[in-house]
Amino acid sequence: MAYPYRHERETRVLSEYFGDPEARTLEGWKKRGGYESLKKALAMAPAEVVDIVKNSGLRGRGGAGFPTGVKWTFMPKDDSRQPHYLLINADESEPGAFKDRELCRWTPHQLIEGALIGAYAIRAKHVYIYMRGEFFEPAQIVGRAIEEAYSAGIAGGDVMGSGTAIDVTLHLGAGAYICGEETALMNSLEGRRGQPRIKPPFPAVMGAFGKPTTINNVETMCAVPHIVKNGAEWYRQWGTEKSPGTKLFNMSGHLVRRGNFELPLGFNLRELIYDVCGGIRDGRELKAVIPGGSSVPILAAHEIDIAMDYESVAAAGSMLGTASVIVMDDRTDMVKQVRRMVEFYAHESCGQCTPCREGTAWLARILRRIEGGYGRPEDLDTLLQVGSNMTGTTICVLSDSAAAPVASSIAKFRNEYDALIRRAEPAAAAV
Amino acid sequence: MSRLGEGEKAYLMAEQKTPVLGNPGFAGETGEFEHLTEADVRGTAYVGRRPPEGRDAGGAASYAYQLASKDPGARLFEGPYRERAEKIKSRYPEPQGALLPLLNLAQEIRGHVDAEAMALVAEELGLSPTYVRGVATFYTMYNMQPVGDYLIQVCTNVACNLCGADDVMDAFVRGVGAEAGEISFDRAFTVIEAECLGACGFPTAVQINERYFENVTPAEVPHILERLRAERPIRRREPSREEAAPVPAEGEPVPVPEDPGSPGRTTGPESNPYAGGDRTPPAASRPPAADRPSGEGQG
Repeated sequence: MAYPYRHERETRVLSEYFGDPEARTLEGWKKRGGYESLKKALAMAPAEVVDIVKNSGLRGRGGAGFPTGVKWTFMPKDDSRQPHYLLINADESEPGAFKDRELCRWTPHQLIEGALIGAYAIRAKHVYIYMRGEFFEPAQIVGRAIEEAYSAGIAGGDVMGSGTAIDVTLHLGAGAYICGEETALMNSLEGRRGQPRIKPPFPAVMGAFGKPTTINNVETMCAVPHIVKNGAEWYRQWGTEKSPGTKLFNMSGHLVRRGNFELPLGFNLRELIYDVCGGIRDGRELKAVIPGGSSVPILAAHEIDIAMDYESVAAAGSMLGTASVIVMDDRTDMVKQVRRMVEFYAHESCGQCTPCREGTAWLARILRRIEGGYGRPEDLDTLLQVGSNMTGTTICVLSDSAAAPVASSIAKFRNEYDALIRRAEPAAAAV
Repeated sequence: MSRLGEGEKAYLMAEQKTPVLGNPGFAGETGEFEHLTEADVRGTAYVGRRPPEGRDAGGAASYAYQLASKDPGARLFEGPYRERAEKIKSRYPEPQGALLPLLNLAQEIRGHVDAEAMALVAEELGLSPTYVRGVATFYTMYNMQPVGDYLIQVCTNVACNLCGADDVMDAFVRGVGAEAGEISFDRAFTVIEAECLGACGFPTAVQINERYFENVTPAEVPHILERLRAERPIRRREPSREEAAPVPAEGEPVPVPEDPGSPGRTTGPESNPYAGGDRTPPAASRPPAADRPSGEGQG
């Protein structure tokens, strides 16, 4: 079977060659116009490349949505005394997200080309692709593509005969969600525990190995060659003024068609679910949607008439995040799913900050108690209070991410919690 | 509003019927994952052709490959592994950067990371063993205890959970006949729950050693286990008489051999000349083969 599903409303820029094994090889990629952008970029000054990306309005696809070109300008301009690093974040572990894996699996050269352009633009001599350890197959494919690029003189001491030296190293993590956070990723790359660092100093000043560093997501870097090739205006034909371009929407949960669909930012969420993905499985009704991976507040069924861009989703009280849409039908046990998400965060908390270490564990414990039928009437208030103490009080946002689904699910599906607690009361009193 | 093409209808119908191993396993329905053989991974070319010296320091560091034939008694960082370790170290500006890749390498060879492996890695990089332990225990992929030949990780996080991951987990636990986290009696399997594997569009995602099995349904689980049992590498070395002798009576708890380096668990020198070293006796000194315990069908 070809790549799972395609839809006529898709705008395929990054995902054009998904399902096409030939595009994985250097030859196949060159045949499809690959490495033309790199050649074009090498003929320009690094600052010009930064300008194109800046003007395109490309925003980081890793979740925060920070403008990529602006991030690149933070790097020191004429500092040749110390090495600079470009890190590619392929530590995709957000529940719901599965776009980077597909990008690495199907279009490794797209990633390498983007990485080399990025490295040239910020004058980095070494690119590290930090991939999560579980992604063995994508690692093998990207590793092979790096080999090919070196053999063809595309990466290495003399990038395409330009005299610029850029090395590319694939580095595998070992199973820690928190390493997707940029400073934790740097710690992990340096061979430390993956605990986030306090900012400042920001990575562009003191990042990996204490040197100026920029970290970009795989999807961001995959978009760069297309922008360099076709220009900033071309990229702006899609999306909104503040969120231009296309985005891979990772659709999972109770959908007829699951998978990655590339659409312009600002696409309507309802159409995304009911048209592109074919609606809810087994003819069920929609109950809730998580629009951006498990770390963002949950939306109820009546809240899905929103445009999927960074601003509109934020205005609706949630976040676009990685655009990982998890769809839940009317049979979903909301308490159980929230408990499962919170257990994940309790497991993945790095243990550095007390509100997160204690908070995630207590949230999980209280939710288990409610789900198990021993909930107490005051539990919901405790959950909300713990959650609010976990928000904005820690080094990174893992703690906030754990609190978000709890607070939003209590706000929107309080009846489910109440039903469990009401049923539990006699039993709890008897204990 | 749904627009379902004919092909997709047929696909959904076929999906509901759950054909016997309709799931090709490797990379879901989409890829053509090459399952590397032991010979492919044990070599030096595996981490790149470029020499460790000179400025071409790119390429992959290490792949955290999980071999089905684990060799807990193997020597680390010797023979071709020495060259691999050197290559890995050359790719980082500071030696400590190579810590995770070297632990990956140790786990690839031995199947788990024990105290001795951590000490060796520490020595290799000039770190203290306790520091290495502190790092290794932070990451979930390092097995602190030996695991079965196939480590089965079932994703039960939200996206898979919505689509019945708990049932798949139960099916694996039943099919293997051991509690989650325990090694099965035939030492073939260890089943654990995993956090999100990053394949949410293909629930339930299951990682078995380094392979992803996608769209796994409970009905498919027995077939997957059957296939893994058939694929399981043939042990070159029979268990010693002492090992094979105590057959537990029914109802008694199954004893798990304490020493992971026991000869019954290691592959012979003929299959991996770099492993074992003087820890394993030469083939001639081994006692004659005894009957293998049940479940070791490939014996």
